[in-house]
Amino acid sequence: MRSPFRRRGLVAATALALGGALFGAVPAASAETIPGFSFSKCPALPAGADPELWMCNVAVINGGHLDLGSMVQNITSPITLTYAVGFDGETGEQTVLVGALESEKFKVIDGIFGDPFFTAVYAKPEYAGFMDLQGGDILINLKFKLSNPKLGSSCYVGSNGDPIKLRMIFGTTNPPAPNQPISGEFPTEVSLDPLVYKATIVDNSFAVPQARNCGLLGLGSLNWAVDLYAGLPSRAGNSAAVFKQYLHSKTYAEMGS
Amino acid sequence: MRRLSRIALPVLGAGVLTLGTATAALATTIVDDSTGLGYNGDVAVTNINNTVITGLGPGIGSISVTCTSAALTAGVVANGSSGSLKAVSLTGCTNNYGGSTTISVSNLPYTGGSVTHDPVAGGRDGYLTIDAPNAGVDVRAVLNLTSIGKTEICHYGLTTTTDLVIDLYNKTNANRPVTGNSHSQGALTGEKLQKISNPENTPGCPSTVTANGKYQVLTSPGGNDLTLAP
Repeated sequence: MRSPFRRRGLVAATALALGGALFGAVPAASAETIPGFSFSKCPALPAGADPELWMCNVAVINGGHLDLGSMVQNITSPITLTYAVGFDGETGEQTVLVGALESEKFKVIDGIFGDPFFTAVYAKPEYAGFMDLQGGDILINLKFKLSNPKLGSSCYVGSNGDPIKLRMIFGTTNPPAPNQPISGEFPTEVSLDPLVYKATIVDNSFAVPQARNCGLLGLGSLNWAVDLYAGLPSRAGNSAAVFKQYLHSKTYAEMGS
Repeated sequence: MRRLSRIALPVLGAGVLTLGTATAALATTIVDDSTGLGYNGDVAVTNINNTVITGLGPGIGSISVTCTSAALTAGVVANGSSGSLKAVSLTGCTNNYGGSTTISVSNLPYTGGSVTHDPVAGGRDGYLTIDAPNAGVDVRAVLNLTSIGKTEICHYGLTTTTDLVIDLYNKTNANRPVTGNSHSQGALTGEKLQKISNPENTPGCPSTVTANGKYQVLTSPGGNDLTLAP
């Protein structure tokens, strides 16, 4: 059961971050409004890496929604994920490095305790230490930092050790009940020079852990309140991420590395 | 994009094996083991394990094409000169996006290259190179990337000044790549092909692909082993 209190901001932020990882885009001559892309946050190449076999990707998620348990957040401001992907020419082993996950904080609720002025809660998505790309699926771990005067400065949903594990796909999901299958949109080119893709990636099979370190001094005294409000922890089949994104990519050789 | 690149490399690798020319630095003789004499004629190069071609697709990571069957025919002369790649076939190719891949090679025969007897302790007996840049090389790959709903058509060649190299091993070499195979062998290890201009190319083609595979090398006809000697 979803909580009667729905928070769209938190969910949206997470969704944006994920979507950004998948695709990148660049302004084009089409009617499509394409976001700008910066490669300034591309991670440094590992020692000995071949620049021809490494690519930096900038994904901007600027639409969709993210539902974490009972919190529902529409993505209304961009989330940008910058990541590098490369492989060893001899072994074929792939490596993914995340340079940055950039996002504004999203208002999750006007007042988590019913007070729209002093208890409004904001959530900001953060990278939780793992990302991979597997045959068209985008895997990324996220956590959300919740901010509010009463929740302290270390209140999170998810952590590096117990993250929200998203596996975003372009196709149709097969989630556990009560969720029903949802479909993404395959990538399409919205600009050829520079090459920019647009796509929608989805996942509604992930679980959401309970809140942690919420309350005075980060001691967790208000974890219960966040959990109660957000319906956490939430088993798989009760949450969803839908990220509409643009992606633009360059090889490190193209960037002059 | 990477998908196409991956495919192209295996093809190139095969081509390298077939081409043979004498090297100036070292004396090289290709010997037919059945006669003990220098061999002039065709050789059949077939895969021992899978041939894998890898490239990068925008935003989606590596595209890996795995081909279960690779065969090529090349003409060689005993001193390694005037070699040519006459035929290339890569079949049974799938990719890691749940689809099939088809690879074809145009502009055959390819000429230009060399075979060098250059033994390395614990390693090869020599190597084969295909000269680069080589305007004739054109490897076409059609990648059906099912899980992302895309089909990429890509052409690859040798456009840099880095030659394509295949390490060669005599059948008596205890360090040959596949000791369970008793024949003379070749190994393609991380060799690169570059995307070449072609109106067929689709936007998602990898700019560079690498190829890896291990092959046996026998005379054709005859099926005799060959030895690379000084």
